[in-house]
Amino acid sequence: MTRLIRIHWLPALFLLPSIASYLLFKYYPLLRMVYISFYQYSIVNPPGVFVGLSNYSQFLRSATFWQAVSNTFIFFALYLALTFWVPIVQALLLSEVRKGNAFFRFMYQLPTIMPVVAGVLVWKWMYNPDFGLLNYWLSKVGLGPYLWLNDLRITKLAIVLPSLFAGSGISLLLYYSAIRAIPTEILEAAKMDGAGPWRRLWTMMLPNIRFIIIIQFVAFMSGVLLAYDNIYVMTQGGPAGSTTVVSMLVVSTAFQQSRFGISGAMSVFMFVMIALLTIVQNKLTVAKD
Amino acid sequence: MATQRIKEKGQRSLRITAYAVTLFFVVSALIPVLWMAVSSLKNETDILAYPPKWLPSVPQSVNVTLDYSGASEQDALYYEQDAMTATWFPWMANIRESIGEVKIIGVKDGKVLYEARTISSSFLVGQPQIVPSTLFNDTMIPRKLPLIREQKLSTFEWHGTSGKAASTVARVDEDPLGARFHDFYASTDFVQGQATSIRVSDSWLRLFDSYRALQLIAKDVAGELGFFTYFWNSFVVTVASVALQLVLGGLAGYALSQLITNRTWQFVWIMFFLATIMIPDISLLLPLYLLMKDLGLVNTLAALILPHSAWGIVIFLFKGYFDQLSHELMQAARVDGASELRTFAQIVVPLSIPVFTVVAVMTSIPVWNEFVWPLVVNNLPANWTFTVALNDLQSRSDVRMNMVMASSLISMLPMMAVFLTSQKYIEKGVAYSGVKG
Repeated sequence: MTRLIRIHWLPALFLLPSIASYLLFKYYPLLRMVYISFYQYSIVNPPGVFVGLSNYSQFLRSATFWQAVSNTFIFFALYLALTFWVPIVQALLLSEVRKGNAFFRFMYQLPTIMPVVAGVLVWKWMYNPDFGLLNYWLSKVGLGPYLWLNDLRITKLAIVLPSLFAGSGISLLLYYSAIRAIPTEILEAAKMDGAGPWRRLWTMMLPNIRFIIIIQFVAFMSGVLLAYDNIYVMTQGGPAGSTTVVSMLVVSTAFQQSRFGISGAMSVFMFVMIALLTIVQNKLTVAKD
Repeated sequence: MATQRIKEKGQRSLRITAYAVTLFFVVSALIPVLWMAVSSLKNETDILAYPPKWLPSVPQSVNVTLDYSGASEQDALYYEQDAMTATWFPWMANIRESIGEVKIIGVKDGKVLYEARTISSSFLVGQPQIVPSTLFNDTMIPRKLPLIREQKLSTFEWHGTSGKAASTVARVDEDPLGARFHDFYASTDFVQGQATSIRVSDSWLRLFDSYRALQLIAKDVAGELGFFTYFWNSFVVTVASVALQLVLGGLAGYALSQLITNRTWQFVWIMFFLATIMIPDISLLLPLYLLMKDLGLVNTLAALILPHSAWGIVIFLFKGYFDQLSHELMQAARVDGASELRTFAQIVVPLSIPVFTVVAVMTSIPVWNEFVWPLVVNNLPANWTFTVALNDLQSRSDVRMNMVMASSLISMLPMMAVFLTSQKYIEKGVAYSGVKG
């Protein structure tokens, strides 16, 4: 026994700070979240009244929640259609850019470091219906004016649009390094077999990075499901709840409406969704290796 | 060799498409940044111009000489009030013009009595209180003078009778703005001195007055340091968080990689850390807030820093790196009698500078840009990080769009500096954390 302890005190010492921090800032809050979800939680007089699963049935029956779910999925579809493929195309084509490659790679990453809040504020300014740049340009080609952030039909699009142009820096790098890692023999062989450059791009390079694409797709899914900052700064969930997503509901239910129990229950729901996605992601990563 | 190369069909079109698409995306990502920079330099009128203007107009400096010759002797207060009237009233009447600063020189019998100067940022910040409308009256300036002095909106330098000789050139510039000021002085009874000379010149420096106005407003909210308070807070939070991550993550990563030899335990601990990646931050917002409340840390910077010590991915970056270190090297150190602690401190850490750098760079960006958690856990302006401050700015009525753009631009600069010096580490980090899974 003594020998066992003597061997293990050092790893314990190295691990202890992290274990303590993970217990305190991850596991304890996680349990507390589940605990809160069973109570009509009172912050003044915790924990309040035990209500069993009623918090869950309450949010599952509320129209606001289902609107948020449907908003989340519409956002997902929009992000998928407008942004997901962008870094893939960018990376594929960037691999064909020889002169100035490092420069372009640099420029692609530059917008990534712009704080989300700052980026959204500029776009919000460009969306301004009276003085904004976008409506002015569109008016030149005979379109608009659009009430970007007030017209229920296009607010979601207005939130997604900025990501089309700036927000792909890191994934672009991922795809790019994966493309670089494709053995040249494969490409040379394809060339010998008479595949032209365009064909090599679509039938050799693209399939060769498919695992990265799949993994990125899962990460993209959880990213979109958890999106908060850009939506909050742009519209605060409005107008008329048309851009309220589930994560936003979790926060506002707790911090604006003080319905902590329901917020806790929705947190559990989000956690389960994301956990499932992460497990799928890890399975895929393992499959790839 | 190049000449013998067979030109493939499609090579050219692909190359052209590649450049065109790349250029398109790079340029369209730059336009907002450029628009942000340009907007931050604009004045109130330009920013609301339609069609939008790309170039800000150059602020004008108006130099007015007021002559009191022939009038009876008065005390400094009288002249100061007159100078303020001669500054604030015509400026308010011409608020839509691009005025950068107004200088008033009071002369009497060929001597300079006083010099007064007001710059546009002070005017913009003070205007709602000092001259809320163009309905001027006698009592406005005497009542508001203490406010002007207290907030240092205008400077007033009193020379008295011992002042230097004044230049005697009396002229009014052929300038629309000069003419407007001239008309104002000619038609008003509020200003006692005779406007003998009004000169207008470009004042490029005043282009940056929205930055100064921003700072003045921030001082009001966050204290003496103004907007720098927010940066300082963000800086403290980022540095402390990264330091915590490096120390805790480094130690734990090393333990998992090298110290724990029992497979089962290794797996258990790896799962213990790895599983937390599944927990979305947003779910933990409420319980974490309650925890901070219990710990008495709400509204402190510590509440922003501490949760960052538990980032699952950091430990794995470290573990992955330490796994590649040669076991022989460490074995050798042990054989030579070095303790495990010494091996780690003197052999492993120096060898691992690259991974420490990668982790530091990769984690500092999200910490610096973090928004929800600081927003929720901190409602004391003095402890705000800049992201929260930015969001607050856009909703304030006394803050105009040029100031919001100025603040957004400033907020980019620190990470820009990090990025410019460490791009290769970011690329390395991505390749490392991403492709390897």
